[in-house]
Amino acid sequence: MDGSIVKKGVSALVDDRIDEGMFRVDRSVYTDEALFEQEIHKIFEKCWVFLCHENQVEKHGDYFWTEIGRQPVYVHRQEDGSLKCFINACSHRAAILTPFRRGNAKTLTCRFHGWSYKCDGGCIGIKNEEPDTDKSTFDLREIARLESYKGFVFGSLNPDVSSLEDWLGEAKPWIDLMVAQSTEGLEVVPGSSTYTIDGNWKFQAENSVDGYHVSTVHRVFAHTIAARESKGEYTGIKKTEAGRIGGGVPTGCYDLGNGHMAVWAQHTTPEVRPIWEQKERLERDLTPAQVEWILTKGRNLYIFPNVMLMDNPSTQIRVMKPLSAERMDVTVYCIAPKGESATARAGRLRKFEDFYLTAGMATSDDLAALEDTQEGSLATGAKWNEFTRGIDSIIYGPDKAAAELGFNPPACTENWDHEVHYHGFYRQWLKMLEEN
Amino acid sequence: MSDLQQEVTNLIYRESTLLDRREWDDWIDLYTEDAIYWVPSWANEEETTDDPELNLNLIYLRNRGGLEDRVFRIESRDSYASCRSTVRFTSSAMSLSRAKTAMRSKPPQTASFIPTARKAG
Repeated sequence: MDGSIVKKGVSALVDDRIDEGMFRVDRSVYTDEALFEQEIHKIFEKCWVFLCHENQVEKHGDYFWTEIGRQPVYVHRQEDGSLKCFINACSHRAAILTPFRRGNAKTLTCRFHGWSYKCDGGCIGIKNEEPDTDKSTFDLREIARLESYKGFVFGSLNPDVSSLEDWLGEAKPWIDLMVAQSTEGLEVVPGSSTYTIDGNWKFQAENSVDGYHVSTVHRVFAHTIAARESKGEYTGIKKTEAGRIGGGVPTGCYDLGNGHMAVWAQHTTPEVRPIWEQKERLERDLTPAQVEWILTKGRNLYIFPNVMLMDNPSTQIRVMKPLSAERMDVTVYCIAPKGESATARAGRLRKFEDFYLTAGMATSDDLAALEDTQEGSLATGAKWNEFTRGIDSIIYGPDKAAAELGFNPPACTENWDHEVHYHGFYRQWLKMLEEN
Repeated sequence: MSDLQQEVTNLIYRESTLLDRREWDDWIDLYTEDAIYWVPSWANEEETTDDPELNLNLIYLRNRGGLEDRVFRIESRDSYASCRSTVRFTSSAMSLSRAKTAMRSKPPQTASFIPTARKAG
């Protein structure tokens, strides 16, 4: 630990001189374990963290086990329909209380010594209880804050965080574009995939809104799909936008404030997207700008620090759990509009399986690149990662597309090959590390 | 071991060998045009997804064309993830043809593959 960059001070890790055309980050931010400990305590345990979608805990007794940073917690649907979230550890000797990642139980009984807890966290049973035990002293600990935004459930261990809506800020209109795709709400499609990446969590944050890699890393995806389509082989899958991947379409990148980031690219064949069947309904219910954004702009949103919402080839919730400086778990879900046609649903799933997932034909390539950047980060002999593309064309405030939809990014450019949105991410990261 | 069981097991080993040798055309030829290649995902800790039209799968290819896509991708030499050596395990080869009537929703043959990619060196 003596050589840790934490001791030398974190502020030197971000070289933020955009007036001089420079923004770079010390590569040891991806490899230093002491710094990682700081990130867990000062970032993950201090801000809002995505937990689950309400659809995953719909009925009384439904629970969902996840983590805030590394701390196990579970969300539990109460009898009155509200949600509570508890530290997922028995008050007695810490065993995880939920038998599964997800399930239904109106009381939870610890499988170690049989202590039991009500849905509201109250301790109601102690095996072979001794006389005069005050069971209420063993009630489960509720986390400090729990709020939902239009079905997306977030929690915080920090009682002093601002409201969730304030925290989400300019990311809200992006979430709204997903929520507006069904009048009945969204649902998480059964099935998911969890994989471990030998890489730092910040690389996943970066990659999820990196437009610049698409035309290299996913060039092979575009060529593969083009070859399939040339054989007429897209029955039930529908065409994919090879043109979008190749480049040459309108795009944008946004620093949305609070470390949130987003990118979009214009779809060249929006009529093949599963949402297209709802065009008339959307035009009736929404503003022309919202309709345009939903139907024709492929969008990736990163919400600081642990979740990504993708509406690109398919619709995805991607949650990450940091494990160490050099390792993370990622879980992906397909989220879809309730009530869409069977054809649209199947098409959405086939696109998801084609592109995303470790067994898919694009995410697998992303992960190979990500793990290479992790290895490369040990090359401290050349210690800086540069984020300077687009630095001379920053728009402070909305560009044309943002103004049309009505959100106000602190900074953006009209090109997803640019890297100016990462400035906002690393400023938020540094700000939180420097606090306390 | 029944003759059928032996045949199925040999087929699985033959498939693995062809993949190891990168003999893609012969590999593809093991499949009929309308072969479905299906790897379900986990619905929960105990069960995999069972309806590919309604649930998420790790892989669901409705015909042999999907396998040809994978070959195209590897042979392009442009796929970052495909420049890795692959280790393959096979187990649980089983013929379900006799139980077909009772298990209509299941494929006639199943086998477990655990392909893992690793970097050279």
